[in-house]
Amino acid sequence: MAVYGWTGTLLRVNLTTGAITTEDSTKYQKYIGGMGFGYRIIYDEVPLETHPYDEASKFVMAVGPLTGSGVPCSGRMNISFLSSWSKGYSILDAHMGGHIGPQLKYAGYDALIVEGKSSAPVYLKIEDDKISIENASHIWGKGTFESNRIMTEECGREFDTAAIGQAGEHLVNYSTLNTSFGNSGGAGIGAVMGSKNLKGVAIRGTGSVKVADVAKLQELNNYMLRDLIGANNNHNVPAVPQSWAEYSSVSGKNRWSGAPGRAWEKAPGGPIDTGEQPCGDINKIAYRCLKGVFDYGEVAAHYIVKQGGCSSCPIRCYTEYEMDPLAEYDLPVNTSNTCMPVLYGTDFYPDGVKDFKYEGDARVVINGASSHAQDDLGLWCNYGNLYREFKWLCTSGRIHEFIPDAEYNSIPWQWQKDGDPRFVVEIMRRIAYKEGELAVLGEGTMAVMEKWNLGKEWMDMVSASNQNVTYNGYPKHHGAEDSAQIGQLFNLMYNRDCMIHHLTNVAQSGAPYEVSKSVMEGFFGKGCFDAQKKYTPINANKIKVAKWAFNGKQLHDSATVCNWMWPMTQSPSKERNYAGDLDLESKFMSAVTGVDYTRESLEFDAERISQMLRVMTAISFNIHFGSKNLREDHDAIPAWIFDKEPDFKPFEEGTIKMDRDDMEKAKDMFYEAMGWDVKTGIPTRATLEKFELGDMADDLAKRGILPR
Amino acid sequence: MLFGRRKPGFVQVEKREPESQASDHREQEAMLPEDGQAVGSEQGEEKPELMAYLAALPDAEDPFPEAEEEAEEEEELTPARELADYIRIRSGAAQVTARAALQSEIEDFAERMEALSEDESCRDIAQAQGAKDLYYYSRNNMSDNYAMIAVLVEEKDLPETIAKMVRFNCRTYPLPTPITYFERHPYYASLPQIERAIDVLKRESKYEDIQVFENSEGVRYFYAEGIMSRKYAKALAETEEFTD
Repeated sequence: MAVYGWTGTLLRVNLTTGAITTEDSTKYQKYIGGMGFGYRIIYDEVPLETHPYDEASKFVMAVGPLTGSGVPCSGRMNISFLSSWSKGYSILDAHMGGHIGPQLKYAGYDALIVEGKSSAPVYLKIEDDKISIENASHIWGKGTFESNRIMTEECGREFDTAAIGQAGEHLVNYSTLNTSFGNSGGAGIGAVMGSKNLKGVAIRGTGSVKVADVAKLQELNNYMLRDLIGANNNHNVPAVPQSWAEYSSVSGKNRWSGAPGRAWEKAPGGPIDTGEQPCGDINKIAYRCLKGVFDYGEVAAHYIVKQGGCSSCPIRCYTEYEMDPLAEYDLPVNTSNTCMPVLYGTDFYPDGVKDFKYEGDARVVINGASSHAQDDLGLWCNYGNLYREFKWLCTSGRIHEFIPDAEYNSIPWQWQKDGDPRFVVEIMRRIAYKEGELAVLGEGTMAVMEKWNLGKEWMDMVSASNQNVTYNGYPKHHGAEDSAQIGQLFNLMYNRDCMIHHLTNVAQSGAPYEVSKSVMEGFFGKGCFDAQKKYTPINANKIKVAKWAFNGKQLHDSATVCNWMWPMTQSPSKERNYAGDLDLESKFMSAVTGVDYTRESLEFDAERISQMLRVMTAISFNIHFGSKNLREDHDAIPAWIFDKEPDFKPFEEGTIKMDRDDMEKAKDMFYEAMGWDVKTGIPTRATLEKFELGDMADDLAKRGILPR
Repeated sequence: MLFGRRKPGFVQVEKREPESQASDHREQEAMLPEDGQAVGSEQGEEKPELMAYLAALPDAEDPFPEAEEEAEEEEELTPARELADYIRIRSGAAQVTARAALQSEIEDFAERMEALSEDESCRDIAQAQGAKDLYYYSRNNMSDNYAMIAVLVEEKDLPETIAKMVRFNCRTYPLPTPITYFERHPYYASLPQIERAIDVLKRESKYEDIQVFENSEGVRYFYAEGIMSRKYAKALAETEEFTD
């Protein structure tokens, strides 16, 4: 029987024995792919007591049926493993874009399971069915850029590679796996690979993804590109007025930042003006996102070579820079990143930074140095907590309590005062090499709080440096500021920052509130979508939205498509009244796999993955803390979320300060909607059996934590 | 059209190689020997086969049928349609067309406009009233809201532009407007020009609802009192630190 979408094969590599085997993957198809495959495989094969750096630990790199198929924005890969740094040490994921996920698929595999531990540094070479474990002794100790270069030269330029840096080698909890392009998966995957002496992977696939209905796939592609897609984060109106557009972002700041007069100024052959990019003009989609200008303002254009991006993505959200002022400091001038590493390097300079070549370019250039160093070292930031905690250390007046004098005096503080880009590079190097007490910052927010005896109140304080959304060691990732209770709820659900963009993509799109409200209420009913800083008490339709977003994230990381772009909730098309199409994921899944999905059936499959996440989290919390109650021990909300903005009361116009009773009611309603026990927040047997997860109910029962 | 809708001034025009150089290339290629044979003899024999093959292929569906229709229509342009096309082209370049300018250029302007208003094929031509003139634009190429902006830009009255857009943004989005909004496309006002406009806004009673404040990062914003409260405007002007 033909297998469409999926390859039907899992690749398993045991680094202890060197055994390389393949298995039928079809038994996992009800878990969709990517994250769903990863959770089921980890649950089945890795006891949750296992330390993530033990030989018995495993990680699963997996892609879904849509990756490699040509579906727009599907160049993603998910990596599942156990956490080394967040409370509960439970299941989490690294997610990465680029081209390596599709290569795994073209090589013939839905997933790669890595187990065991090599006795010496190695990298994994996958070329279709030719798989080998290669010596990496000569690469060990090198940064990710050099490592990727060497692997590419050794294997051939048709290979896509990804490597860990010094942070992963030194088992720094905050560590990543990076491609040579700035794509990275974080959450500690670098150290998990480092603990196995696995430096990287090089993959070349010469096969293809079999598509069940090619004509339908083409039709859907054309429909999405012509009528639905906007810019980065699917922002559906331009940042500045364009003649074809009815609306634009009043702040001038959204991710549809390409505009007349804004150019790739360092493009080979001369500047290229990004011009206007009308809705429906599919050949100009790639000019819509000028991410550098969104990040830093117009000054960034002086350093922009072009926009790059992932496989199958027309949006191109990775700004590629040439920052020539860095040459003065013997630092690399070419850099490309689109996320946190390229945004907040200036946090390492709390007294400010100085311009280099153009007025206002200090932030651009410092972040160029910062992001290149961070990517090269393979260092993760925990969605900015690394920067926030270093800044707090510098500004709280408490640095001498934690950093010994000798170490303190060895830090080149003059570089910090001078705004020298080498300062941030040096601080990151120390953390990645685990040098001194400063390296605690790389062990994680929980380690900072515990080793420096800061107490739980450190996560309660109202401060810009505190964005912790739970007491579990990770910050909010688009929470209440975009969608009040909805954002707060889904931020509680994971064992890392949630990375859900469903709501921020609508709230920050730049479209008028009434336009977005009409779209959202058309999908989810009245009262489901609040105006900015003008929120209302929790209601049933908001819970519908929260459940859609939570399950939708699992769908995207399993299918595997980009959650920065998907779902297509809004559209730039006036003719559509700016409404997107929430059925599109299921339409693509049906066209690619030949399985008849509906939006409801696909959300059901995605919810199965949400239930697995919850069960595994409950078991981990029980193992490590004896917890029997996720509501109290995992989903507790720090005080700052309720105590911020003292001039406002909850629900008053102008605030996103949350209300304690309202949030507890929101939890009640959300747990009920998910089929979880309201008192403990743990899935009931009936719920788990509904999703064919009866074995997980038995496991909870055996541990005494299955709700009665 | 390979790169979609082109707008004058917004698209880099590809420079074509001078004809003489192109000829040189062809000559050089023709002179290159291949397997000891002069190029042209064997390949030349194959050419008719290729052409015959191509001629035998069924006609491909025209991906741009509209372009063809337009071309046909071009042959039958009436004076009114010619005027409509002119307005469309200017709208495509993000510009409205002032009535006064048309009147000065076209002798039978009034007749043409009357014919245009009765022509079904010109239903996309719309008009926007400014303080100084009436302006025309094509809804095929320009939105109504942009036409409002384009008229304000055309009339070069910055205090009036600021007041109108601040009220519009407060009512429509609803959001306060950073002063930098007017520095960008298509306004391109300089900071000194904006400062002078703020002075006028403060002086003239018809603008008394337009207020300025500064957020915690020192960025100045406008809002329209009566449409939005100062407290809410100030709250909306505070941006979240981490927004990626």
